[in-house]
Amino acid sequence: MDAFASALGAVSDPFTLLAIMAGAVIGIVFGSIPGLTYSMALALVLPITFKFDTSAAVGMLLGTYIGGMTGGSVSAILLGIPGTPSAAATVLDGYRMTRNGRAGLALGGAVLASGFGGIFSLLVMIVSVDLVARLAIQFGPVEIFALVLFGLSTICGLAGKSLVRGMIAGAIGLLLMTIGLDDMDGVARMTFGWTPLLQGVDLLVAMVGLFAVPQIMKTLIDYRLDRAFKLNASGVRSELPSFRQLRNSFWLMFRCSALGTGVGSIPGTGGPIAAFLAYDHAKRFSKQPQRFGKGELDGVMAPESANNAVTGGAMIPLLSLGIPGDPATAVMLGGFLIHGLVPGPMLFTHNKTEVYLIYLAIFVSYLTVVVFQYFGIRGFVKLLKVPPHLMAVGILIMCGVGTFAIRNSFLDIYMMVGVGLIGYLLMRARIPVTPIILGLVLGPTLEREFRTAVIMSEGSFGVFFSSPTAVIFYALTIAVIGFHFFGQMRDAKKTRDAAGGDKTQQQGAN
Amino acid sequence: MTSRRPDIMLSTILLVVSALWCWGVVATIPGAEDGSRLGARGFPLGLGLLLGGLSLVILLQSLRPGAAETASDEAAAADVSRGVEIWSIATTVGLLVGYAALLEYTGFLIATALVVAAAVGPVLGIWRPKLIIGMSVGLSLGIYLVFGKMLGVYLPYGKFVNLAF
Repeated sequence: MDAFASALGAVSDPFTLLAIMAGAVIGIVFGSIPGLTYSMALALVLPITFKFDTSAAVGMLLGTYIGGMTGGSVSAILLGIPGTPSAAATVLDGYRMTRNGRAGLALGGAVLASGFGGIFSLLVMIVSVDLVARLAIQFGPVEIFALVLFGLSTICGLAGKSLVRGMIAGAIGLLLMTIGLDDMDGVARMTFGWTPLLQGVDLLVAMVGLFAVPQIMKTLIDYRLDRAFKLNASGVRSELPSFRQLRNSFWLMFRCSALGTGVGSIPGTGGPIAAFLAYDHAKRFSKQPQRFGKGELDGVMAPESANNAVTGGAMIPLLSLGIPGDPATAVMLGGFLIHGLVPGPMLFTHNKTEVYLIYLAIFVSYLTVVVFQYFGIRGFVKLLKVPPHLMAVGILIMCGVGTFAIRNSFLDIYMMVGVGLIGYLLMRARIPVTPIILGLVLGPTLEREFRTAVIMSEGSFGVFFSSPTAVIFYALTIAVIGFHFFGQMRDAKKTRDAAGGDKTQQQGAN
Repeated sequence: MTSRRPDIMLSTILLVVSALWCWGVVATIPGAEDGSRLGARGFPLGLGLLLGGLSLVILLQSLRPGAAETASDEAAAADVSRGVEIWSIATTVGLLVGYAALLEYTGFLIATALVVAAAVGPVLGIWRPKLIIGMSVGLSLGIYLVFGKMLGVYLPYGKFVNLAF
C-alpha cells in the first residue's frame, strides 16, 4: 500500500498532472490531424521529458499515447479521413452521421465509447499484467532470448503486404543497433575509427527521423499537388447519446472493449484490426444491420471502444515482458528505458511505485481525454483548419529542437535528417519503417541474452532448447511467421486468380 | 507500372550494402574472446548475411517470369510526379540541414525565425508578410519561452551571435 500511496502522491503533484494533461492534449492534436501520427508525437515529446522527474515524464508519454489513440476519431467523423489508422472503421458511420447533420452526437458517442474502452482495458491490464509478470520472473537468458525473438515476430504483423520486406526492415533495425561500442567485449563495431560513432545510433534520433521527416516530405508533396484535406464543418458541439441509447449500447461497448483488450495484448496486431473486428461484430449482432454504413451510432461506438481498449491490452506484454506490440508502444518502451524504468518481470519487484503510477496516469489520461474532447471540440475543429503545410513547418522546427535536446549534439540533427531520408526512400521502396524501430528497441536485449546464454553454457548452442518455455516461444514464433506467410501466399493466389479471370473475360469479349 | 525494375534496383542496392557490411565486420571487428564462440562479431555478421539473403529473395522474386505489378503499400501508392517529389525531399533536407547549421552559429532564436520565414515565404511561396512575421516570431519566441524557460529544455547558443540566453 505504501507504493500505491507514493504513486498517488506523485500523480497528484500539480506538475505531473499538468504533464499528463499536456501529453493528452498533444496526443489528441496529433491524433486528430490526418498525416500526423501519435507515434510521431511520442517521438517529439520524449526529448521534452528529459528534464522531468520519472513520474511527470512517464505521465506525459502515457497521456500522449492515449490522447493520440482517441484523437483519431475527430477527423474520422468530421473529415471522413481517419487521423490514425485505428480510426479507419469509425469513418464508415461517423462521417455519414456528419453528412446527416449528426456530427455532435457522433463525436459525443465516440468520446464516451473511447473512455469506456480505455478504462475497461485498464482494469483488465491491472489484473493480468501482474499474473504474466509473476510467470515471467523465473525467466533466464534463454527464455528471455526466446521471448524477444517472439516479440520480433510481431514484425510480420507490421510488415504490410510483404513479409520479406518487413523482415528486411527488421534486419536493418537490428544492424543499426550493433553500431558503436560493444558492451560485452568493449570493442568498437562498425565505427571505422570515427569516435562520435562510438555512442551508436541513438534510438530517439532514429525515431524522430523515421516518423517525422518522411511525413514532412509527404505533406510538402500534397501541398504542391494541391491535394491536402479541407474542413468545411463549423460550429460543431459534442452531444452525449441519450440514456436509452447508452443502455442499448452498453453490452456492445463491453464486448467490443473485451475484444479490443484481447487483440491489443497480442503483439503486432493493434488498433486497426480491433476496430474493424468490433465494427463487424456490432453489425453482425445488430437487430438492424442495414443501418450500418448509413450513420448508425453503434457503428461509431463499437470501433471506438475497441481501439481504445487496445491501449490497456498493448500494455500487458509491454509492462510484464518488455515486448512492444506496435510503433507507439515501441517508442514508449524507449522512453521508459531512458527514464530508468525497465519493463519486464523485474519492474514489478523493483519499481512497484512506478507501476501504480502508470495505472493512475492512464486513468487520469482517459479522464483528461474525455473532458478535453467533449468540451474542447471547437478548438480541435479550428486546429483542423490550420493548413497541413504550415503545420509541417512547426514540426520541422520541433524535429530540430527535439533531436538537439537529446544529447545537445548538432551531429544528431544531421543523423536524424539522414535516417529520415533513408526512411522515406525505404517507404518508397515499399519497405515499412516500423519494424526498424522494433529491431532497434529489441536488438540489444536479443544479442545480450543470446551471448550470455552461450557463455553460461560454455559455448554450447544446445542450451537454447533446454527450456520448455523457450521451446514454446520458438513454436509461437514459427506459428506467427507461418500464419503470415501462408496468409500472404493465399492473398497472392487470390490476386493472381482474379487477374487471370479478368484476362479471360477480356479475351472472351474480344 | 510494374514493380519489377524498382525491386531489382532495391535488392541490388541492399545486396551491395550487405556485402560491404559483412566485409566491414570481418575487417574491423575482432573475433570471439568471451568464450561465446560468437563474440562481438557474430551478431553483426549474421545480420549482414540475413539482410543479403532477404535481398536475394526479393531479387529472385522480381526476376521470376510473370512477376508483374504487386499491390503497393503506403507512399508507393502515391502517384507523385518525380519533380515534385525531388523538390519536397530537397526542401525538407535543405531546411533541416540549414537549420542545424544556423542553430550552431546563430543560436536558437535567430535560426528558428530565419528558417520559418524561409520555409513559409520562398519555399512554400506564401508571400504574406503578416503570416511570415507572425509564424517566425511566434514559433521562435513560443518555443523559447515554453521549452527553454518553463520546461528547462536546453536550446542551443550561437557561436557567432547569441540572443536572450
